This record gives sequence, C-alpha cells and structure tokens, in this order.
Amino acid sequence: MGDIFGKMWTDLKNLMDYQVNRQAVISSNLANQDTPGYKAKDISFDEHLKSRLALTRTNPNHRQTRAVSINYRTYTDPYERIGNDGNTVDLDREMMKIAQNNILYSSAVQIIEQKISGLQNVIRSIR
Amino acid sequence: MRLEPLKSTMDTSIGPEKTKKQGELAFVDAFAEALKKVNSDAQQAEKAGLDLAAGKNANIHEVMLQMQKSGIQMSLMVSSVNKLIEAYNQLMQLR
Amino acid sequence: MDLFTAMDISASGMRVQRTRMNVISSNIANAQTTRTQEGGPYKRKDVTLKAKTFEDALSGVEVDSITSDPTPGERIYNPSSPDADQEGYVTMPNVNTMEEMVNLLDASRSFEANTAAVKAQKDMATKALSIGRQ
Repeated sequence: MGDIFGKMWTDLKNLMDYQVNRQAVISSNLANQDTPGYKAKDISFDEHLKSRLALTRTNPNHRQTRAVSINYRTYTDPYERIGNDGNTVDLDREMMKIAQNNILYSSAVQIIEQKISGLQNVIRSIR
Repeated sequence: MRLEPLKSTMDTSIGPEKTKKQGELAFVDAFAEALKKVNSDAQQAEKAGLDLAAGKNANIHEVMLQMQKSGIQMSLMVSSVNKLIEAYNQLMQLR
Repeated sequence: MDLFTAMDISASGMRVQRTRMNVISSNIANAQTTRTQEGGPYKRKDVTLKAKTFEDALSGVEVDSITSDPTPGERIYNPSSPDADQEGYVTMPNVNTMEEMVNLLDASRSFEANTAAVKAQKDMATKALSIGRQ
C-alpha cells in the first residue's frame, strides 16, 4: 500500500512547523524590543529545512522535540544612531511579520483540509 | 492416518500447486503488514492526541495531522476489507 | 517547538513591561517628594532589561535590575521649606515628568505589542485545532 498522502502532506507539515518556529522568533524580538544590545532575528524556510535534515541524519528516529537547533540570521542595524542602545528590533516590521505569518499558517491549514476532505470523498466512493 | 506422510507429500510437491500457495501467502503477508502499520499508526496517533491534551506535546498541527492521517488510513483499510469480502463472496457464489 | 514556548516568551515580555510601568508610575508619583525614609529627596528608578535565552534563536526577557538614578536633582531656592539646606535650597527629586510620561507610553506600546503576539499565537493554535473538523 503506497503512501496515498504524498509529498504535499509532508511539505505542508514542514511548512507549518517552520511557521510555528518563526512565530516564536518574532515573539522573542517583540519581547526584547527594549533590551539593550539585542539584535532582531528571523528564520527562513530554507534554513529551517536544512537544520531539520541535519537532525534526522544524526538520529533517524528523531521525533519532534524542543531541542531542535534553529539556524537563524540576525538583523544588523542599518540605523546605527548616536546614543542607540544597540537594539535592532523594528516594532512595525515585527508586527507586520506576525500578521503575515498568521495568514500563511491559516492558508496551509486550509490547503491540507482540502486534501483531507478529498481523500475522504475518494474513500467514501470505494464503499 | 498419520500426519507424516501428508507432510512429506506437501514438501516434495513442486509446480503450479506450490507457486499458487506462495502467491496466496504473499498477498496475505502484504495485507497483514499493512494492517500492522495502520494499527501502529493509529496507536501513535492516539498517544499523540493524549499527550497534547495533557500538555506534553503541544505541536498542535502535527498531532491533528497525525490523527487525521490515521483516521483516513483506517477508513481506507475498512473499505478495502469490505471490498475483499464482497469479492470473495461473489467468487463463492460463482462456484 | 510549539506555540506554548512562544506564549511563554510573550508573557515574559508583558511581565517586564508591567514592571517598567510600575516603576515609571512610582517615579511620577514621587516627582515632588523631597524627603524619603532614607533622608534626602526621591531618586528616580530605572529598570534594566536582559534577554533570557530559551534556545538558539529564542529568548524571553527579564528584569536585570532596578537601579536608582544617582543624577542630582534640581536645587530650588525655598528657605521656608522644612527640607531646605543651610543656604535655603531644597534639592528636588531628579524626576522629569515629561520624560517619564514618554517612557510610560513606550512601555505601554511594548506591552500591547506582546499582547498582539499572544493573540496571533492563540489564533494559530485555534486554527490548527480545527484541522479535519467537519
């Protein structure tokens, strides 16, 4: 019995994992918007996939745990002002990312729900 | 009647009889494997669901997807078994 | 990795901003306090923050310390005041009310941002729970 779910299922799940991780990173930025010297961070999907791949290579039976090392990149401050405390968090940018991430997550859920109801229809027609 | 002669007959039989038996066993094996996987996936999904409810594994979409996947596999398995039984019954009626 | 971690992080942000708001309120309330229990005028307080690392890219935030600002306050000539020194000057608290108000707005805005983050996390969780629901 082949995998009826296909690559799209795994891809969407990976995407949603990434979006949850990203939400946590953005939340970290928002929590630290007043911390002196804190540099804003973000993660890209490619980096997320790479770190997950590295993880499964070391332990193929590895399931989702908290100790996943996330490759992130740090924003440098293009607005190095005199007297700036070194904090690079841009509130508006982070808020925009939160809204965007949320919408993309909802989209992924919608897509996978379509796939699920599609499969259920197919099975119903077999009976 | 002793079992030994019967056994020796089976062992030395070659030709279409044996290959047919192998074919049947292969199908049954494959089906049994699939059934085991569906069952173990279902158990894992149930555990994941309970963990989520207990707050241990809070990766919500992963758990929900596991449960959905397991449900679909189960439905498919049930439908397949029903179809097989139907086909078998039809076969029996033909004889 | 899950949304609960993100919620913890945002919660730490809210906690820290509330502390800031409390300290700033205290500063504003004591802008005229020329005599404290320790003697001398009220000295404004600052909250220093530091990041609290959860994992690689994830950090919450916590209060590092609450320090007194040693900058001397303004000296006002008011010989009739019971707190006047030998020259008739009273040392005021080093509180600049306008500055404190600006800080209060800033802390309040940061607080709201963390609240928005929690709402987004909650929305994502709710959406995930609805997967497969008929």
